[in-house]
Amino acid sequence: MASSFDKEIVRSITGTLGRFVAIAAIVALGCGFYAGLRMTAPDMDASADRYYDGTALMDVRVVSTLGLTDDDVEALRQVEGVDAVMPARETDVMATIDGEQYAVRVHSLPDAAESSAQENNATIASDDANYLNRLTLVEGSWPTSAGECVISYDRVMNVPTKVGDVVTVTEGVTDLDDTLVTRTYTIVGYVRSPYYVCSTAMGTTSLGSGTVQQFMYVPNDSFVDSMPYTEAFCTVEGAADLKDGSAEYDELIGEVIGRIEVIAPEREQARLDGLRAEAQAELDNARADFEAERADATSQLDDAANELARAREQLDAAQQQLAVSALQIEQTERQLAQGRLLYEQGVSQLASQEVAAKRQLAEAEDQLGQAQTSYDAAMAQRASLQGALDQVNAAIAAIDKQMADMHMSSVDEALDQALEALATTQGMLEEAQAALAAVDPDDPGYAALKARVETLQIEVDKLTLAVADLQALQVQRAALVEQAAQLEQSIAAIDERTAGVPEQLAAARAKLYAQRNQVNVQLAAAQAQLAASKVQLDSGTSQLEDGKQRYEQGRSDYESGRADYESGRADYENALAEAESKFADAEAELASAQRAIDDLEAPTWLVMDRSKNYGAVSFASDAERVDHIARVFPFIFFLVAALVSLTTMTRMVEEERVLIGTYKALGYSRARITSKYVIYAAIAAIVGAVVGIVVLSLVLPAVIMEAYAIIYSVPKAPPCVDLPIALLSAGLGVGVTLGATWAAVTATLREQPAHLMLPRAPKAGKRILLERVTPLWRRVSFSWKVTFRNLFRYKKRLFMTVIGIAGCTALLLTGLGLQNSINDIIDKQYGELVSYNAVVVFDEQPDDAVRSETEDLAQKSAWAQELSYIAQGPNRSDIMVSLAVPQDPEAFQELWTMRERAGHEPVNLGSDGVVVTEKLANELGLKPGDELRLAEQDQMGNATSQVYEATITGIMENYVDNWVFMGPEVYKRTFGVAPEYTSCFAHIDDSDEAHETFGSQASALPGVRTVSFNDEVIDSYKTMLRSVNMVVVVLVVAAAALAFIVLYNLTNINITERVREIATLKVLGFMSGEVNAYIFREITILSIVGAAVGLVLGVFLEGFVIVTAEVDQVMFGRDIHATSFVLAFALTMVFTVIVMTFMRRKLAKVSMVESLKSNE
Amino acid sequence: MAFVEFRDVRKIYHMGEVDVAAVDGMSFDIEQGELVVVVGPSGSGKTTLLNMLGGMDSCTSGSIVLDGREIGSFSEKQLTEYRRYDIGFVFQFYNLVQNLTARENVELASQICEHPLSADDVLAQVGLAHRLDNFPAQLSGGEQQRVAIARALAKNPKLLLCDEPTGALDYKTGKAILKLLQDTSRNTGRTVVLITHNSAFTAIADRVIRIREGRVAEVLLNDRPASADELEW
Repeated sequence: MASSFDKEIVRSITGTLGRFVAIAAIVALGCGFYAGLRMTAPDMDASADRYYDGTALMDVRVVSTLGLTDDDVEALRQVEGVDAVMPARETDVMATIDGEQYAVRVHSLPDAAESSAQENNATIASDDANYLNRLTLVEGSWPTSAGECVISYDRVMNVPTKVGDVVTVTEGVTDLDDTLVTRTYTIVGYVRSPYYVCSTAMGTTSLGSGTVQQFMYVPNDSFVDSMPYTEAFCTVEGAADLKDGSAEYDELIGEVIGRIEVIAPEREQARLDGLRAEAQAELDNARADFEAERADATSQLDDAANELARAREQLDAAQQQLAVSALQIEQTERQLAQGRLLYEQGVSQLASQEVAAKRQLAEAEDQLGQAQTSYDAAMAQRASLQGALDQVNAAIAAIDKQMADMHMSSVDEALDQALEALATTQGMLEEAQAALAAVDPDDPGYAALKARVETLQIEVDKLTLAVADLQALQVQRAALVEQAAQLEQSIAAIDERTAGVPEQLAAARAKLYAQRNQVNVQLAAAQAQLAASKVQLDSGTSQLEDGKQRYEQGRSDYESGRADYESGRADYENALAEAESKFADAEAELASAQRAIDDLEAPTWLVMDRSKNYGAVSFASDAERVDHIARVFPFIFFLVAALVSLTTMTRMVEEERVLIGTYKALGYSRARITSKYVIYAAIAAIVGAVVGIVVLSLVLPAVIMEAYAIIYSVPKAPPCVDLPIALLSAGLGVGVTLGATWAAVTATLREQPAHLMLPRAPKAGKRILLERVTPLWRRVSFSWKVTFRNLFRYKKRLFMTVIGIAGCTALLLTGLGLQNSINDIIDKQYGELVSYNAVVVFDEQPDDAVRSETEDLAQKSAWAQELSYIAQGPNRSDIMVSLAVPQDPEAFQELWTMRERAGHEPVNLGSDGVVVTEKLANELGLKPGDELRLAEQDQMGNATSQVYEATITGIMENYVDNWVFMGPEVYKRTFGVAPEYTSCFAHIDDSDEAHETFGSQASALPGVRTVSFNDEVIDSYKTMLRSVNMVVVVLVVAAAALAFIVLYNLTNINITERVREIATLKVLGFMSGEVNAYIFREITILSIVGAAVGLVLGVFLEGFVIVTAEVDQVMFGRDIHATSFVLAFALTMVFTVIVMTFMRRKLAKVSMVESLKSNE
Repeated sequence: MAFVEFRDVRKIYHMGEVDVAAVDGMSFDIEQGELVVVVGPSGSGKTTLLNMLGGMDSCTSGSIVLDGREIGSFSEKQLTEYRRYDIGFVFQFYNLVQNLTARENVELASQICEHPLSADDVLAQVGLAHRLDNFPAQLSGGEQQRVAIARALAKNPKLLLCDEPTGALDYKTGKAILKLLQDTSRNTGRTVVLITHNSAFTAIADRVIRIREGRVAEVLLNDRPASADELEW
């Protein structure tokens, strides 16, 4: 049964709800914030654990420097405690997506992925227990054929991609031919991977800007068949039941890692042996091939040599022959010349002989001719004689012939006969004339006898004439014969004279003839001989010409043959030399391969737990960061909660003085009376704590994880209230409140009841220090005086308000400062320090033409060498740094301002040492003058023992990444080699088109490896900023809540306590504005003071948060901007004004009648 | 026309569903320069009357005229100005601002009105020239009430309203205060209205207004008011 006392407690609560709520609210805020923030880390861890378990994230990752075999995988399976093993391949590549280049880590997609099923946002079910790091398909589909891929859903990319976009692999971390078969992939889906929970920390690579920007899963057969597994993911039995990151988990994993490390040497050796054997076999094959090839080549060469020798012989023979021919030709020519000479001589001899012979002959002929002529003359005489004779003879003959014709042997006879014939014919004519004179003329026979007598008459006439002729003839003949005799005599004389001459002449003629013939024959013979020799000569000449031609032909044939031979020889010699150098090379290669095999070091197994997974570590460390902040942040709330409780309860106790006195008088024990207030406060605190814890421990982790969701893909686990934290938080909140309450009550309870019954003497007004400054004080109006005096009169309230408001401002400043700091990363780094916005990296130092071509593409450019090292110093020795060696430090500084952060003093990059970035120097614990150690890194990015040292001469302001700058001389001195300027830092226009143009033009330059833009980095920080913005919102809300609670409480107390005063003022005719001012001035001043204190506090709080939240590669801006100070201050004032506006009503409600009431 | 005119003034409070007429048709006049004592038992409506006359509350009906101005229908702001410039108020519990010295408390009032009197003069007038810089806590009740009166007077008000000014004081001090008020009225010609339940005070009044149950029971004009010194109760 509730006692009246209890009822009174209940009523005091309902009656003074404002006060109750004030306590409850501040406790809620304090406890809620503390619990909420403290639970965020466990919540994040729980979410991660749930996600990791649900997606079978590997517990252990085994990487071998030389890859893993199926045997290794089998061996891993056999390790006690290893549950599932998934071998996989991965490689880093540069890839172009939508015209932008990214460093992408390519993974083999397990076949089981396609058949896996998503159970909830953090669980992927698969039939294949060995399917680890299970992917969540968020969009699209799984790759079904070669050339398809899925990429990260949480992508930090300049250009949004979509399903169907093409990823073109341009370059690999090793020879692409050794890794990927397929080079072009179509994006078919987007996935989330527990292996990559952080989209801004996917790991490091030697490609691009050094960090993996995207991951990509491709079908297993996209990898080169012979490529070994690069890694094996394992889960550990029972690990899923343990919380990720817990000591038990770490212990369990540690044990398994230990066991894996036990088998590692054996496996490493096996791998080495296997590789050696394989390589040896390969090498042996290669050697055999080489030998065969060499034999082949040698025999070919020998053949060629033989052929050449043969050709040589032939050529030599030909040459000899040619020489002989030449000799022959020469001889022939000589002979011919001789022959020709002889011939010519012959011809001329012949000609002279002929002439002589002709002359002789002509002479002989002449003589002969003369003889002939004389003979002929004789002969002609004779002939004429003869002719005459002949004529005579002819005449005789003619006469004879006439006789002959008359068949008379001679004229005499003929004359005898003609005389007889005349006598007979005369006798007959007389008889025939007698007969006719006898016969009548008319008898028939008369005519016939008459014709006969006439014929005989004619005959007798004729005969008479012939006898006359014959007589003439007889005479003529006789003359003729005489003449003939004479003639014959002359002829005979001639004949006698010419006897023998014709013979002589004929003989001479014959002789001449013979001579001539002889000469002619001789000449002809000589001629013929000459002709023959001419013919001979001619044919000899033409033969010679032919021979000569043939010789020339032969010669030219020989020459060309010779040339052919020479070129053949040269070819042969080249071929031989080439073959020999090839053989030497091959030999060297084989030897080096052999050496490589011999030197082949055993691979190292790197057995890693999740702490080597960038995403998981990043997530866990962010959770830890939140926890660090959570441990400090709510302190303000608790402090304010204590002060609020103290002031409120003090006020309450004071208000209830009389009641307390009455209770005391009635005999209630001090404890009992105290209990009322303690119970009151406890109820308020507990209500507040419960509400605050429940609400904020659900809201805050959700909000913070939501903020982190921008970077992390860990799905949030269902909300849960972590009981220990909740209890701790509630205990702190309630405890603080009760402590304050108890303090407030006991002070009052010490007083005597009688004393308590009297109205408490108003707290005396007191002079304050300020009044000593009389001239100033006199100028102060009363309301101000009251205000000032009041401020110092109620110190608890002063502290409560100042601390509360300071907390509010500090929170605001922290939030805004955080925003500034992260904005500064971009604004200062890319606004003030760095003016290059693109970097073109070449495979090797480009020649001058390419250099100037590159320079022409940019508005401004500078060349440098970029290298990666592990920086070491006294504090840390594991910081990955970029070493830049600018070719021309001055030109480089035009693109990258080197200055100190404080004071902006320029930092000089000289020839005596290196300039390091501020964050790096701080982390390493180094200052100018110290030695910086730069260690080479191995394949896995760990420091090796190869360390270089350089003196730090300057520390420069820088926000993104850790850099070491080194002049060329220092580089040469330190590393012993000349720098190779392969990176071109370029400033180009900011427009998208300019970037695109530059990107495509620069990529087209020969030997370009990558073209990257700062936009990528800027974008990733902008992403980060978005998550910070959410934190800022949380802080602003918390700050506002804090301000409201404190100010409301203060105002509430001020008003209730000073109702009488307010009423009096009203009665005195103070305008409502004046009354408000009278009361609120105090609040305003407290707010201003609180805000001012808060600005100071905020600087420290922000500093703490920044340092706690900062990540390795980044230095957050260290300056809080003036605008943030102004804004934090202004916001605080705005909250104050809002509270005042709200409280003004309460003030207006104060009745003037109160002034008439007695003091209670 | 009288300086103060109450004409059928009613004030009705709504207490839940019940209407309570605290003042139920009061009519009376007060002439300038008079020392008026309003007397009545508890619950007779004196405080309501005081509230309305002091501009702290408005009447439900009727008219209240002060110096020719109808204040019954004043707006909140006009009422404030009325209180500020025309009324000087003396409370039973002095209602001094604890954080201000005597002088400052007086100046607190004088600084807000148009023709204030010098704080030091007024305090000297009330006999506190030597306590100017004392805080209320350092003053006795009587002294505090003197400061309160000084504060009211410093405003140079048309009407000085005193609500049981001696209520928290001992007899002797109370008498001294009454004397001060009477002297103020006589010497400065200021109209002083004194509200009390003590009928004994009526003797010193120029005009006595007796009220009972929200109505004016009787108005008496006192031709020869007694001096406060002579008062006994």
